[in-house]
Amino acid sequence: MKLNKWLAWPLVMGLVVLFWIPFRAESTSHLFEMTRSITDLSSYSIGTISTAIESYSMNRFVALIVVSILFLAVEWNMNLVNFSNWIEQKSNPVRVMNYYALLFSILILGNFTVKPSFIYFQF
Amino acid sequence: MNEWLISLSAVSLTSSSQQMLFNSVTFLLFFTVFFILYWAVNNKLNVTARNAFTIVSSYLFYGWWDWRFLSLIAFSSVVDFSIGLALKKQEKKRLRKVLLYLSVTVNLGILATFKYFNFFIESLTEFAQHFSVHLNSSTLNIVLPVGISFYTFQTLSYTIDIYRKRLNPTQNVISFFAFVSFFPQLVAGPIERASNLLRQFEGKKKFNYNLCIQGLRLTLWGLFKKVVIADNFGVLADSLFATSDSYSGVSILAGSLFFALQIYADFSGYSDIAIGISKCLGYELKANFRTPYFAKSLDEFWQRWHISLSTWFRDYVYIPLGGNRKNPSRVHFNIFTTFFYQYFGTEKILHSLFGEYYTDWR
Repeated sequence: MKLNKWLAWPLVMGLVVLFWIPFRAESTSHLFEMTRSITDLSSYSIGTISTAIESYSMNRFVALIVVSILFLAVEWNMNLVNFSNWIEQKSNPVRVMNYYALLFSILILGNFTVKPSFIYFQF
Repeated sequence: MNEWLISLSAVSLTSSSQQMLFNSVTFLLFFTVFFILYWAVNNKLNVTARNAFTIVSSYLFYGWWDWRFLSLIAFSSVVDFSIGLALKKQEKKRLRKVLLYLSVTVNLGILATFKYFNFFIESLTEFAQHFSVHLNSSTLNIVLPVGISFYTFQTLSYTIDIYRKRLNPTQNVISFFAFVSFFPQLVAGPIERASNLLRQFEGKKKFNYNLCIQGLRLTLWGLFKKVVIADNFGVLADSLFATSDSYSGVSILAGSLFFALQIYADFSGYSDIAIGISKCLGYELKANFRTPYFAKSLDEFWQRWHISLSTWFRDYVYIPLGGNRKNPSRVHFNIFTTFFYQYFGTEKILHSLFGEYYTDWR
């Protein structure tokens, strides 16, 4: 059965997001607990999310979400080529605008306060 | 009940952990100096001097993380360079196989010791406790050497390709050491094949302005993914998973979505920077990610996520097991075996899920 691409990619992405959950489990019982919470619709409340993002100002959080949506839009648009090849095909003003947007995002939204290692170093 | 007190080991290596991350000022300084000197050495001296300079700088880069593990890279390089030459000279099938097994045993032996020793000892201790046998595993703090899997797979592919007569071994020890220790991809890939990267160390290089610009663009994009996307969503995911007492379904799903963005941006960002700075030095590395979250099937996702590892497993595990040319049950076994290591290969997930298995069971 072949799914429509607009239906297929959110389904695949959803599955992949679920696959990452075991990486955050402390133990098997913890994983079962998390799985139970996901399937228990009565546990759905946005209270815990607002607590978790307290460390972020609302402006910063909104800016991060907007930048992330733009990031995913660029990734979608890149269509299997890398960023360098993708940007090369754009006109000069678009290219320069992209460079500035990236630099400003790094300077304004970049998180330099925490020093987490690249995750795959543990691989 | 008898209580046995057995000290299992006294090995204790702790990390000095002075990290030279790609997004650090230390690395910026290191790379700027390296870039200038590299092209100066390249233009004034010969290929060997350039490669020797690359080795020294790569060892300095790795040593910045933990100098004690430099000997492991050097040892791996010596073993596989020597076995490569021996395989070339050896015509007898049986002896060639012995040489191959020697390379596989040494490389995977080192990898298994550093990667899984802690996990197995802890599991053994917990399992023994179930039978009232108390093993005192006097803290086995064996630190996982950074990037050990990446360079192990890289050197293994070299000897396996020579064994299969698909690659001629290099006679140049300096080129080989540079290939194994090349700092842009040493600690987190992409896992390169000798057929692509090693030959690039053997020729003369000319500074290519366009290639360097391409490299700088990729580096900027990788840096953006790392410090804007990965490091911000990492903090948010950690906060969401940390509130474990009040788990709600929506916080777990949001946490997992943020973690998915973090892990992708973190790893692909690192790969982009690695590929980008390599381009500035005149080297072309293979792509490691092709927008995997927009894949339209799980198969396609697998082909677009951590490509250098997936293709490594395809060529050196899946196909030798028979690939899809066997009966359906064997094909499923082959897929499962290949998938199993890639998914469960990280010590983190093994420890998370199975390390406490016996504890939960008790």
